[in-house]
Amino acid sequence: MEHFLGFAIPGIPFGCTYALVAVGLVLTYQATGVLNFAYGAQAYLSAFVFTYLVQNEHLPVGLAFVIAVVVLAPAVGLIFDRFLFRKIAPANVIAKLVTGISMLIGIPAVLSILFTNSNQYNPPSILFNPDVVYFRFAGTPINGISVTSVLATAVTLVALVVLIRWTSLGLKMRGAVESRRLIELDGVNGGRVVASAWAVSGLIAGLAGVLLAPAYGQLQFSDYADLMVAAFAAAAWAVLRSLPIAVLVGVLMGVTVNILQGYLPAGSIWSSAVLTSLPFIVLVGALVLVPGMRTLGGAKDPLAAVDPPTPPTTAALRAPEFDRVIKILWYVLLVVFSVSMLTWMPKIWANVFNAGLAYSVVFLSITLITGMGGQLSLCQATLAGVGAFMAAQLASHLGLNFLLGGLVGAATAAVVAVVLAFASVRLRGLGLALMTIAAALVFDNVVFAEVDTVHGQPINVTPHAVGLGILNPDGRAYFVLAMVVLAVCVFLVMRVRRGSIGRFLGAMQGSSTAASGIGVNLTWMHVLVFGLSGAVAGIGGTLLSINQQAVNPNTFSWEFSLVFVVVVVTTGVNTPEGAIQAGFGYVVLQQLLTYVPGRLGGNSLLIIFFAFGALTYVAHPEGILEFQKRRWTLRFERLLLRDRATPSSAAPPGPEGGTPAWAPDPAVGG
Amino acid sequence: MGRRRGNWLVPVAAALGVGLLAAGCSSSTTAATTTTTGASSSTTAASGGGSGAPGVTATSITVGVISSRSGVLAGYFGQFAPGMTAYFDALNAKGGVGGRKINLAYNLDDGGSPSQFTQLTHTLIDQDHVFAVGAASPFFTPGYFAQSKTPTYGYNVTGNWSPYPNLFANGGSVQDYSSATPTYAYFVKATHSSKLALISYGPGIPSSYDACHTAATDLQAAGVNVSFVDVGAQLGGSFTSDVQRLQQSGSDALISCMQASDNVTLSRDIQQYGLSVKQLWLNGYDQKLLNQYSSVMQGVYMSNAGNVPFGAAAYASVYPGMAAYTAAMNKYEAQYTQNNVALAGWQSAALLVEGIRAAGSSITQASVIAATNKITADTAGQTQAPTNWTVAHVKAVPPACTAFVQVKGSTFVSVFAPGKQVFICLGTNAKNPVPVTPPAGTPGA
Repeated sequence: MEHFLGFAIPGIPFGCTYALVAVGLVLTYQATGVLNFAYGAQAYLSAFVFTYLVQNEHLPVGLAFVIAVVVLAPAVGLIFDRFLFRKIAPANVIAKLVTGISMLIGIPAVLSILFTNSNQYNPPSILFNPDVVYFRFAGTPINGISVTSVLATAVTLVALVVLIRWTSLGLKMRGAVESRRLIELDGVNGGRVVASAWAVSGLIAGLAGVLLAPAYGQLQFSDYADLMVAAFAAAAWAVLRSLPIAVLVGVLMGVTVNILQGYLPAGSIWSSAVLTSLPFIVLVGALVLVPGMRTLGGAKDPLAAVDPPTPPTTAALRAPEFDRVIKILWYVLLVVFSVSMLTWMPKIWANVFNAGLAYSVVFLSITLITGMGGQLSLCQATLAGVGAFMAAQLASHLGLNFLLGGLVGAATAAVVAVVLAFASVRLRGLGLALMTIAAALVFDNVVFAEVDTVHGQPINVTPHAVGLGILNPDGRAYFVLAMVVLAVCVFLVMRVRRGSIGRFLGAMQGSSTAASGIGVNLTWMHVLVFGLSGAVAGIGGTLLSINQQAVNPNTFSWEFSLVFVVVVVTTGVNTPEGAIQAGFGYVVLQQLLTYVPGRLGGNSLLIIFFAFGALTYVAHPEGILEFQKRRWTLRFERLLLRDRATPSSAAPPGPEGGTPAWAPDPAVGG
Repeated sequence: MGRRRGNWLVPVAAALGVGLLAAGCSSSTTAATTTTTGASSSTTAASGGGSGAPGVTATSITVGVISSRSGVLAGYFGQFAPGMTAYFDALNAKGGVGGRKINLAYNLDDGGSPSQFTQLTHTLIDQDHVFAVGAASPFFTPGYFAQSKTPTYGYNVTGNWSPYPNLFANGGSVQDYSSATPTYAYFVKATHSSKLALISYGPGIPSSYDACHTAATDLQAAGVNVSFVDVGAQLGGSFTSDVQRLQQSGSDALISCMQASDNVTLSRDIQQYGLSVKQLWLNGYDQKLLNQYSSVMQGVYMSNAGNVPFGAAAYASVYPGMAAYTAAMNKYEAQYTQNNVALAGWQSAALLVEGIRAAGSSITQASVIAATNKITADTAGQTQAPTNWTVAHVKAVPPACTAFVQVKGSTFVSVFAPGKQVFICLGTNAKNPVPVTPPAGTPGA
């Protein structure tokens, strides 16, 4: 028994931190309907600022705490509310997720730019000294970190319960989650209620961040990302509703991890795989077993139907004469581009464009699942990785050509996606996003890390393994290969889009209930779009690995799944054209940043650019690039065809004109 | 109006067709003009005083570096470039090499992204036309470096630098974890320990896992009493369970293959559980870390594989290399002086310069690579045990020399080696790890 307690007790402080973050997530969701994906980044921001002020500016711990937690953390919550989430329609789950994800990846990138090296040693404790043992319980030393965590969590929880159960603000917060617009009809200032909830949840995020920091020797964002996943799991078991259950599950998870660490054979696959993936297993368990999680994110607001639909694509709006001109211009550009790539293009830019082609294929998988399927998958980089790893395994074990292995890899990625689709068949919106991110994390921590011959090391892709001169330094053979693969994938996507499947998917996006009513098999459509998306991602992953001459698990980590989503929604998630623009935009911008004097920022600046670009998703769900294209197309049309009424000018008003119907007819290259 | 589906495929095919045709014509033209281009290069070299090699002029040699300065693992690689910078600054202050100053013109950050690393590789080679590249990144990929035959120097954590003849990793390009086994056996013997425990992360972090996993297997085979092994610890996790198992197993010595911050957490837990365990850390030889965690790190041993310890700078007559390193770092990059990754950067720069000197007046990438590969005792300016580059791309040659240091107060103190010597050199026998004579050229020997 003493051993058991000895293993269990040290897990309580970790569990308290999980619980605190889970409570913050539940509180935000309760009051605003937003599952805040940026919560880990908020916690990290406060912890970073707190540590920086103490370590670098030598401020007293108390003053640094006030600045980082009492002032900054609620301010960030209020900024999120005022400038980001308040503008999102309650039913727009994808917009909420995309906005949260943008901040999740954007905040650490901003810190990285501002402070060059954003890793800080020896984060201080706010109350008690981590190096001092204050007392022993069942033989277990209780140090300053443990005492501080448990005390701060207990005080915060009591304060929250009082706030929510016994104050007028708490009552209004609970009402706001049902429908902010309805409580406003009752004379309540809904905006103020929601803003208060954001401030309180921001405060909790900051507190959790500062509490967790001393538990690690070094402050790193990755630890806060892991914390967030554990908190998601706890919040999911609470159906994002019950604070006591969120606390209980959070604490239990902390304790369970420690107990398993104590009893599982050290160094075994059980130990390394189960322990690292426990939060994800708990999260998946909640998504599958807790009925309330299946419908999470669905529109509860009775006034949600007043929100306008997504505007149609530029290609669907253009006047025929203008459409022909645009297409001809695109084809000319295509020929010029191809000739240039195969003749005079400098090697550096040839490589950039080749990488762009590979990314375009990966991003097409997001067009399939999000643009056409209306679902947000947060594991597309993982599926790309499955394709690449399978090709690498077959090449290293069986000597199979990497290109052939890539086809097997694509099939494997499709199978993985189908399995995931079946596992998430009842989930939509938020639940599906959580399921896919859990899958991505399991693959990162268990599959990619444990697979024989991989072990987290990059596997070199040699010219011999690929053959056909694909990896010749001039990049021309690779260009031909990538162009052919991209063309085939675009063709596939267009066929699906224009066929009955595309129309069924369109109907599902409009109303799944109505689609089901007219005989659309929702399950089959869900599985099909996942499978296709997985296959395309798998092919793209193989192509990307050939371009990078290595299969690296980090290329396909869950962070990149989030980055990919953010990049594609910035350019336009509804069309293959948007995916291609995203693919090229991602790498071309990366390369252009190398011309910035001093090469300031690099990857962080790129992430910030797309993260803030994705924030425009709320106003322009078709993508900011697509929106600008439509705007300029219409302007040119008005200028060139001013003497006649064009179909677009006759369209009902939207942002710069648009039709209310979903229009499944965009053409690639225009 | 009916429309043929997929008609856009025709222009795509046409574009590729036209492109391929143009490529065919272009290839024949290029072949026909090759001689002219070569002649033109020679002319440039002659008139400008350069060698025709990329990045080389009559007065300078341009190099670049890629490291992970931001992103997930930034804390462990960001110090590499300052080490290189300090070496070149010190060298240039003395007039450079062969009348040319070395210009570290491009200091790039991969931002913790493998694709960014690959893109920056192409940028340095194809856009910036550097002569040589330094690299310290967990995303290192040899592909384009090897293809372009660019001299590349760096800190090998990915295990994929071998066997390419133009890739020079610190201390040799082969990561042979077994070669360290006698060193660990010696530590057990020298500290009079009876039961050894080993802790590393799981296979997802290969440099950690492979080091401890191989050591555990080899040490058991060598008859060392390995009482507890956890090769699946979590990065940034809790180590209280491990400490309790250490206690239960009666271990009195511990080798940790984890990163410094987790070593600190582990050591704090060991202290607070009241255990008396001699700890050997493979990571954490960093004065900045010691300044922050002095109380937690007291008595901890560090294995400084192949490198002269920083404290040896006090004996400038015996260790002039470390004295020069310390002086230059204090002058140019003071905040990174006592840091192993910065030392790796310095050593990489030293090997490049040694290769340039050995190449003589004909400085091309090929000549520098060839000359470097003839060096039989590379000590990177007397800062490390010798590396024989005639074989170091394909195998690690015993004996393996290690400098052990121990935390005493606020400093690292050299231990185990007699007198002013710092290295313990061991052959392959882990059962009876008796120090052998250091190879010729070993600093302090």
